[in-house]
Amino acid sequence: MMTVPPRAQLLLLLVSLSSRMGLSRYIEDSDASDGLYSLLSLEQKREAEDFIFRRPLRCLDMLSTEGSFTFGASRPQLACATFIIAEPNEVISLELSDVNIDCSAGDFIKMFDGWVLKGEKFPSNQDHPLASHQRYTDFCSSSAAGSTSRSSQNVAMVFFRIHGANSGFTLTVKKLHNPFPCNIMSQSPEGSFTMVMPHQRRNCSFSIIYPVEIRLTELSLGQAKSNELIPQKKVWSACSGSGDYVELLGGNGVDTSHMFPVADLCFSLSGLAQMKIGCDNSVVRLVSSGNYINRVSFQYRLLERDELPKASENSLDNFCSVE
Amino acid sequence: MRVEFSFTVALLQVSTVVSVLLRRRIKGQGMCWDTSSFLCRRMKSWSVLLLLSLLLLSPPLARPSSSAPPSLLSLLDSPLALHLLRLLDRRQEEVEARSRDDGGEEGAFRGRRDEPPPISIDLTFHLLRRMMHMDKMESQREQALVNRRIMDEVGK
Repeated sequence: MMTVPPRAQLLLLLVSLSSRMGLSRYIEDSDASDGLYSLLSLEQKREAEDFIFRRPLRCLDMLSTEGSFTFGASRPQLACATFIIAEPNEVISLELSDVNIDCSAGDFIKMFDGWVLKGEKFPSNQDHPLASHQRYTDFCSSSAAGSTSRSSQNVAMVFFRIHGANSGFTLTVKKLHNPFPCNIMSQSPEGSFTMVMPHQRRNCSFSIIYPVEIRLTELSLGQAKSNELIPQKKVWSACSGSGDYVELLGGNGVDTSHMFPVADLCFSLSGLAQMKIGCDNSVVRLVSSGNYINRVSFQYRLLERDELPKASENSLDNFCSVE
Repeated sequence: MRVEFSFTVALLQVSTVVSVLLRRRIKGQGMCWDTSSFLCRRMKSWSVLLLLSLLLLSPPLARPSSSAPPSLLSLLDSPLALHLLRLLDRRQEEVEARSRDDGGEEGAFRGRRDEPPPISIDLTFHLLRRMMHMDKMESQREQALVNRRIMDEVGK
C-alpha cells in the first residue's frame, strides 16, 4: 500500500484550492461572451469594448440600441421627443452629459419613465409603481439627480425644447437586464413571449401596437383545478373579477386603462386559444393577486389588411373590430 | 342674564359669519385644494380657533346649576365647544395625513385634479410604427457592419 507523504498532501490541497483562482475563471468569462467574440485576441477585444455606437440625435427620433447620441440645435426646436425601446427583458438607463441649454430661457430636457402618446401614458398610472410626477426627471430642476434616469420597463422617452442656436446635449443609452419584465411594449408585430409573475401583486401588460392575431399557447394560473381540455367555443368565458386571470384588450391608444377588454381567461389552458384583434393597439394583460406564480405564453402575428375583422354595424364609435 | 345671553349669541353669529367668509374667500382662490399651501391650512385652523376663543371669552350662557362664574374647564364641557374642538382635531389629522401621503394612493384623486397635462406628442400609430421599422433597419445595418468587422479580424 502506498502512503502519500504529508508534503504531497499539502501540495495537492494547495493546487486544488488555487485552481479556482487561475485559468478557470478566464474560461468562465469566455463562455459568457459571444461565440465569435471569444475568437478575438485580447487586444482586439479591448478595442471593441471601447467602441460606443455614436450618431447625431434628431428632433423626433427612435432609439433601440445602446450608444451616445448628440443633439445639436442649428435652429430653435420647441417640441422634440425621443422614443427609446429595448428588448422585453431589458430596462433602459439614460444619462445626460455635455448639456448646454438655458433653463431660464425656457429650455428643458425631461426624461419620462414610459411612453406618452397623444396624452396617454404607457404603462398607465395604475400599472406603474411610481406616482405620475415621479416618472418625470427634469434636468433643469436638479442638475445632479436630473441627469440620470432608469426606466421600470423596456420603454422610455426624452422630451426637450431648445431655443438657442448653438445649444445641445449628449444622451447616453444603456440597457440593463430585467429578469421578470412587467409592462412590455413590443418592437415588432410578430413574435412570441412568456410572461411570468412570481408571487407579486401586479398587473402586467404586453402591448403590441399593431393589429394582430394572438394565440395563447400556455396559461398557468394559481387557481387551476385540473388540466382538462376545454372545447374551443367555451374558451373565452367571463371571469367574475377573480384574483388571477389573463385578459385581452384592444384599443386605439397606449393607455391600457382606456382600452376595452375583449376576452378574459381565468383557468389554466393546455390547448390553443386564439383571437384576432383588429385594433391599433392589442394588449395581453396578466392580473395577479400575488398568491401564486402565474405564467402565460403567447404568439402573435400581424394581420394583413384583408384579414382584419369586419366592423359590425352596432359597434361603438371608437372601438376597433375583434374576432 | 337675558342681555348676556343675547350678546353671546350675537357674538357667536358674527364669528361664524367671519370664519365662513374667510373660508369662502380662500376656497375661491383655489388655495385650499393645494396641500402645499401652508397658509390655507393655517387659515382654516385659525377660523376654528377664533370661534372657540370667542366662545370661551364671552359671558357664560345661562346655567341652571350654579350662580358663580364657572371655570374655563367647565366651559369646555358645553356641547358647542366640544364640537369645535373635535373639528379642530380632525383638521389636524387631515393635515398630517395629507403631508404623509404626498405621492401615495390616497393622492390619486387629488393627483388627477392637480396633475398638469402630460407633455405629449401627437404622433399617429402609423408614424410611430414607421419610426420603429426604420430604426430596426438601421440597427440591423449597424450590426451587420460590426459582424463584418469581427469576421474580417477572425479571418486573418
